[in-house]
Amino acid sequence: MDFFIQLFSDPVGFWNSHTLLIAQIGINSILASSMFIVLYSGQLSLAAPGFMAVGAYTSVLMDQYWHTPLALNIATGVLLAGVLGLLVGLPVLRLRGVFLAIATIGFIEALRLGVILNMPITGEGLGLKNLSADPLGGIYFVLVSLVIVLFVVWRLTKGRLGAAWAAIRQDELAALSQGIDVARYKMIAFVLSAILAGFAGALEAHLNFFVDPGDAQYGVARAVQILTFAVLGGSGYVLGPVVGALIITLLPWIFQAQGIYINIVTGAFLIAVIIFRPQGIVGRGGLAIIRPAWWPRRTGARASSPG
Amino acid sequence: MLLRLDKVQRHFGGVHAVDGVSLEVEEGSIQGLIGPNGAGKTTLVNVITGYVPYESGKAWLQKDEITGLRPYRIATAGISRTFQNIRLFKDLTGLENVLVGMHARRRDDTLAQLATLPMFRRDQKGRLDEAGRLMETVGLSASDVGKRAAGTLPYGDQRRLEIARALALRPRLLILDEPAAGMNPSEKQGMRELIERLNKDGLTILLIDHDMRLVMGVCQRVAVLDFGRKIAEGTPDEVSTDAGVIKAYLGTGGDKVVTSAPGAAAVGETEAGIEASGIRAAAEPKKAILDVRDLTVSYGAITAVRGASLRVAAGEVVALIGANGAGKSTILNALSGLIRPEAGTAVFDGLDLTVANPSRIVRHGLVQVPEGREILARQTVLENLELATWGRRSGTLAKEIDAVMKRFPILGERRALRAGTLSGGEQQMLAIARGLLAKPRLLLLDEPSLGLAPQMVDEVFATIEEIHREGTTILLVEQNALRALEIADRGYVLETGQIRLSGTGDDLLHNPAVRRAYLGG
Repeated sequence: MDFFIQLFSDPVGFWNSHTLLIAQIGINSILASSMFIVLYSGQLSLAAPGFMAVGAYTSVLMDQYWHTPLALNIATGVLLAGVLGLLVGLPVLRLRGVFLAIATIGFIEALRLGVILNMPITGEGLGLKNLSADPLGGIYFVLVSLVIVLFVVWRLTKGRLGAAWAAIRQDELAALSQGIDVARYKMIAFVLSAILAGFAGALEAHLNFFVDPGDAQYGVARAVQILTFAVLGGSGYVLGPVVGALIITLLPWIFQAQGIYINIVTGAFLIAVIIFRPQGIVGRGGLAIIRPAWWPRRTGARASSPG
Repeated sequence: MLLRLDKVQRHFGGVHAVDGVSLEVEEGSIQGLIGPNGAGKTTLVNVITGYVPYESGKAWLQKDEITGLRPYRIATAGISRTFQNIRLFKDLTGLENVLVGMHARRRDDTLAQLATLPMFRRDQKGRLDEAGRLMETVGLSASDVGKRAAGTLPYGDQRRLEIARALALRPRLLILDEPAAGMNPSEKQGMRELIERLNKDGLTILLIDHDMRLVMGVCQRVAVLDFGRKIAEGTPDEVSTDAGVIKAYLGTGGDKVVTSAPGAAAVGETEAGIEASGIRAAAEPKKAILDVRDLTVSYGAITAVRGASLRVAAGEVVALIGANGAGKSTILNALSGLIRPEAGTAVFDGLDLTVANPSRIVRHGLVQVPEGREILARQTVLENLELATWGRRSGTLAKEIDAVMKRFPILGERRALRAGTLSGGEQQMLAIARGLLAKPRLLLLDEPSLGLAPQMVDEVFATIEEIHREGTTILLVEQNALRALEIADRGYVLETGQIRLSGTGDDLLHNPAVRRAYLGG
């Protein structure tokens, strides 16, 4: 409760004492947007942590060895993540649904266990020290970036690109019959998603003095967390996964007095959302993409302006 | 010539789905494409539109060769299609669905989007207006239907919306794959008017449908496929009196039947036939083992069976015949408890079939041999038969299986082979044998001759007669109507979900109205 009392009674104090939390929410929101793009185009990809790792390690290593400016480091990390997205996308985008999810898990684990934990330059299992990290000053950069990312993604869903994605998500064969080059638009979504994940990874590394190659950072656990953002918030609107990210990041803070029981609370909350609001808190989509055939389908008439 | 196909070929495994079909579609015409179930019509459409690759053969749209292009290329080249089992974007609104159809000719506005330039809003306004006009063209209201999620629309509206979406591509050729399937007569009339209106506005249409009245009514030319081959082409009149076409639709009976059915159109005989069948219909058995009254069955918005009544007495063979989509299998599935009827009653020997669960129905002695056989292809013949006795505790099971194998010697010979390696006819035998193991008192056979070569059809029908002689009552659903009526004591003719005619097998055999139920007219 202290948490909310402070938020309203002393916003400035709250901001100062929770800077790291707010920055983490911002980064998770960018990751949520990365997840949103692939889900919006009908692809259950869990590859984000892999691209995060590429962004993070690239920017930190460039800083360590070449002492290049931060902006260049991040830009290079993002670029590499995008290129890797293209290379990974070529084979795995032939797969759909759960099979795509499994293939992308294979990718992130191969990258983490096979490359990061085995190369001297990445510090192997020990991780990397990042002496130029700026946990407190970085927050403005994170928040401004988040606003720009959300705006861009939102506008993309409104145009020709977004319309094609929505059509592909609903029915690939029908999308083909409407003259949509399905493979191309799926690839665009996958690469954009990789770029955003790489960006979030680079930002996150900039906020921490230590790059940790653990499972919770760049492994399956992180992938599942990012998917949870979208499941909880709903994947039909840009803000859905962001709301999910906000809740998932905040819950452990709000209930920190309860210690380990927080996991039970979070689990119960997730189950409740899945049962009572399968389309997600914000709506439209959510679990729809991975919902088994026997799950009751809620098809209410939806009135929204087309676009 | 707008579309030209040259010896298009496509096999699936050993099945000739499309076997060297050449076809020409005249610019500005409505070309029909018909054929019995499994003739290869939809496969041909899928090949033309790029969903299924060519094995050999070529296709041209006017002067451009379209062989082997990917589906979206063919769509942008000017061939637009609808799907047999409606493929709308269900969660998008009606207008959004139509807007997707404009994708290919829409300017790439990604950058304009980011700057939120007014250019985008102007373009979007133009597109919305056009989408609205297209919806009005097919008879849908843009302000109502256009704002609702496509998946929530009634069935007929979904069909129309799919056409509006196809029109949004501004196609040179529109391919309609069964646009009137599952529609009631007045909806069908509306669809017919829509097709004629679109054609009058200059659109070339390739129409595939099972409803012969629709196809024969609107098409200038009709091509007929059977077993992947084009067996006839011409004006509707030429095609509907073609002996080969009638044979393909009504099946191959004894010689007597094949020669008499086409010639049976003599007017006097027609009237007499209907009269006679009307009288005998009243003579239904008084004591029935199966009694179905006013059965109505729907799949969502589609009503497949409308108030059908029929009776089967113990010891009879009753044939239920009718064109594809008439509702035959639906009736059987409702009797087996696989789908629940909306209204009506169905009683089998004191058991209410509308509420009993399927396993209870089987134990009571009503057993269905499903369409398409539904055997377990990866299990051996013996395992298939053993599974049929699953859950029954009896010391005689092994003996029963032995007895069935003696009865179908071919199954005994192949007991250790995977069922999937059997020929179609042998698989049908296996399916029937499996049904017999459940000790039926009433056996429902759904299309036992479907997809079989002629001599296998003979064998299957001989088996059915034998089973009947041994005392099992049979309700037989067949597309091969003449053949089914030959062995049936009585028959019912089903058309668009309603029973149109009933009478003795012989009666219906010589009734020209039967031919009409299949071929329209």
